[in-house]
Amino acid sequence: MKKLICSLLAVCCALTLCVAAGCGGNGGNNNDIDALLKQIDVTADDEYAGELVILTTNEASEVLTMESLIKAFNEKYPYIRVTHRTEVLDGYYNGLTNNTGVAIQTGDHSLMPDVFWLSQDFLQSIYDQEDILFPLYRIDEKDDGFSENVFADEALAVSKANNNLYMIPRDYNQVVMYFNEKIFDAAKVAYPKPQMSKDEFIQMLAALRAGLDASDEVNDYGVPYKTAVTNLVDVNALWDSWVWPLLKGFGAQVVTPDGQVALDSQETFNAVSFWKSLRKNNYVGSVSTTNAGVDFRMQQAAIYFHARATLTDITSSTKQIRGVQKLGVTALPQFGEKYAIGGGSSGYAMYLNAEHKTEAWLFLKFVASEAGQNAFCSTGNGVPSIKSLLSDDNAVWRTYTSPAFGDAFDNDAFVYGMDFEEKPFTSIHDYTRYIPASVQEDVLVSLRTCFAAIDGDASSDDELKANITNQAGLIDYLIKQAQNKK
Amino acid sequence: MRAKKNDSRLGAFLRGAKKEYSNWLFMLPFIVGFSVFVAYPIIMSFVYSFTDFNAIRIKNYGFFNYENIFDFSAYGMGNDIWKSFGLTALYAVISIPLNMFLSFTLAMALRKAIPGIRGIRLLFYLPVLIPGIVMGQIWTDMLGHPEGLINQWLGAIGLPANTFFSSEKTQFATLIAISQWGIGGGMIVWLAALENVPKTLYEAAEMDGITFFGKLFKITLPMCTPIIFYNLIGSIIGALQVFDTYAYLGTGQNNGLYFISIRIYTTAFGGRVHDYGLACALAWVLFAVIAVLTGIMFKTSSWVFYGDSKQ
Repeated sequence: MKKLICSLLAVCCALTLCVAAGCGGNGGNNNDIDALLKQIDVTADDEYAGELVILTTNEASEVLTMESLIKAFNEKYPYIRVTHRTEVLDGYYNGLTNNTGVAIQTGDHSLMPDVFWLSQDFLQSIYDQEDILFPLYRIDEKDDGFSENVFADEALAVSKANNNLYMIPRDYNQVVMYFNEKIFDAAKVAYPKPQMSKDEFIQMLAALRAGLDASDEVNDYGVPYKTAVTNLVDVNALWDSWVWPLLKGFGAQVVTPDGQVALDSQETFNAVSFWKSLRKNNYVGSVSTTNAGVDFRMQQAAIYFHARATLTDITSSTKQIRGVQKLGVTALPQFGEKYAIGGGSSGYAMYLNAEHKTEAWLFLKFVASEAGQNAFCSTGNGVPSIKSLLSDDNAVWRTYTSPAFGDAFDNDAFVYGMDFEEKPFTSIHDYTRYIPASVQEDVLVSLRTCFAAIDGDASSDDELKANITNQAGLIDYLIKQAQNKK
Repeated sequence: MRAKKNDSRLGAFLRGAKKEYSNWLFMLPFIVGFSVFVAYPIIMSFVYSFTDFNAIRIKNYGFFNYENIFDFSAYGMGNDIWKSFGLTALYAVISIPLNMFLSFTLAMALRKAIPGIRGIRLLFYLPVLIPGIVMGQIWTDMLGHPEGLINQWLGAIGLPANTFFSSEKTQFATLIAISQWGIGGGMIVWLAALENVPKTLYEAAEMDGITFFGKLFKITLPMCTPIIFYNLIGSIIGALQVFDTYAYLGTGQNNGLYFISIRIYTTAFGGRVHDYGLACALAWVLFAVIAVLTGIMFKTSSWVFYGDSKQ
């Protein structure tokens, strides 16, 4: 008994010690943004000297982009020494969150980068953690040399949290239909056109299959297309930028603006059912594939749905993966009644307690400038986020070329629909803004589960409908639970 | 009076420490390491289990994580969490006895001193040397998709393809089957145990005309009960913490391989919102389950034969 009491006392002491040491979290909330703003010299010019630490993922395309941006930035600001740190994508956001926690508890913010790469998908949840993002809109108000109006509306919308700017959108990404012209040639099928109808798309797939079966042509590995191409279309069918636009195209809704869950509908089932029919005919591969893009790059799929960010990955050739050497691109087909194209932005944000705020702001402004955007686009993997370059025929992203581009490589595909009255650009922010941040990830998982069930054993129409009903119920429960917590 | 007593105790402790400082010095690396890397995280995980800690800050304190774990309403968290516990228990209940039976059978078969027996034992032990993650990747390549190697072999001999890991119905049984790949490790322990059974017992039994099964159940198994007990405790703890399947199978088709340790990991580090508080609470519930099971095992261990020594 005595030992037990001693042990309990020891635990109590430890608890007291921990709370006293700041484990209770008392760092960022008291940050006075006005005081932090004073640390930023908005009049700094290209003679400004200082240091800057930038964090991105270690993916080849990100590293290439950052190298290009830093080179151009240093041409303009030669006295700012930039350090580029990288982390693997898998642990990227974990590291960011954990390091922020350590920085706040120790008061040592040198652990943190001044500027870090951020994807729109994570903006809301990072924003919700309160202590990571610097409110860039506050600098915008102070700095006459910057205006968020330069950005395309779509890119700007997904860079905001709580209707305020927290991320400088670097790119304008929308999903396109890449295709391997050689496979279409082998099947003697005409190249796809922009915004094909669902029926035209399915007819094209049927013609491709028949054409390849009758063809003896081989790919660069020496394997006949008719055996190499098992699934005609390569796509990550559980990609959030794919799932939601597909649902929206069929008229489905996830959550209404007043927060009511509307997922359980015939429209949702129609979207799932459409994908099931493609899967059944082996037009598309496993819904839950984890290596989307590989088949297309290995010349084992005719079509690949993805965005510009992956362009050089598709065309680059290695010993193992030859890449596509006659690449065509066009705008997505219209699968449902509405035309919806998945899209979004990634960009750069400033750490709330950045040690080099002026340098960070200069870099972010540079990313938003034509020089910065052209530097980024010179890698080939970018479509700019600023309006002036999106429509400029001489902008670097449009003049960029590669020997792997085929006759039907159409740059307009990357901005298709921008000038439509009803813009097809569709991002998950359409509905996530009506959902508490703490359950957004769960809602995304639920949407994926609606489609993932296609691969499962319970994939009859009734079972798929029951699954949708179940996921809708779960979303409703999660939202209500999160609202009650608040 | 009590204060004086405490003073004298403290003084004695300090005098002892001064006298034996070299002992303390040698123990210091362990003490520091244990305090920093074991004791502190254990205490903190207990503290966090009563909070909504997300790696940055704590906004709420209370029992809500434990309430959520036991929330069995229509969409309550408890349903999924305890499904994971159930799945883990089922895995333990099937894989542990199977593993012990197979490794014992193998040890019995390989205990005879025939020419080349060491080489044969080595062959059975070799798979244990392959790291679990690597082995998992190999199994996934062989069984993870309809065109896998095993299905190709089945096709070559005219048998129909099996779904193995690609179907919710067969993935669990497939996992149980491949988890027996490491029976060579258990075999070594059994061989050591079998070697320690006094030969005189068998000689006496033979003189009494006892059959093979008679010797097995009346001599071999009773004499091996300490090893069985040890294996059982270790295996239960290991099986309830099964995690490495996550690296190569994720959570399985329709979450059919979503074991509790994997759920703890994904709760803490998966997704966009890191719920360290709930993950810690789950870890403590798992600890409680393991502690209770282990306690029951020890309380009911009268069947273990420790020879003449005191139990």
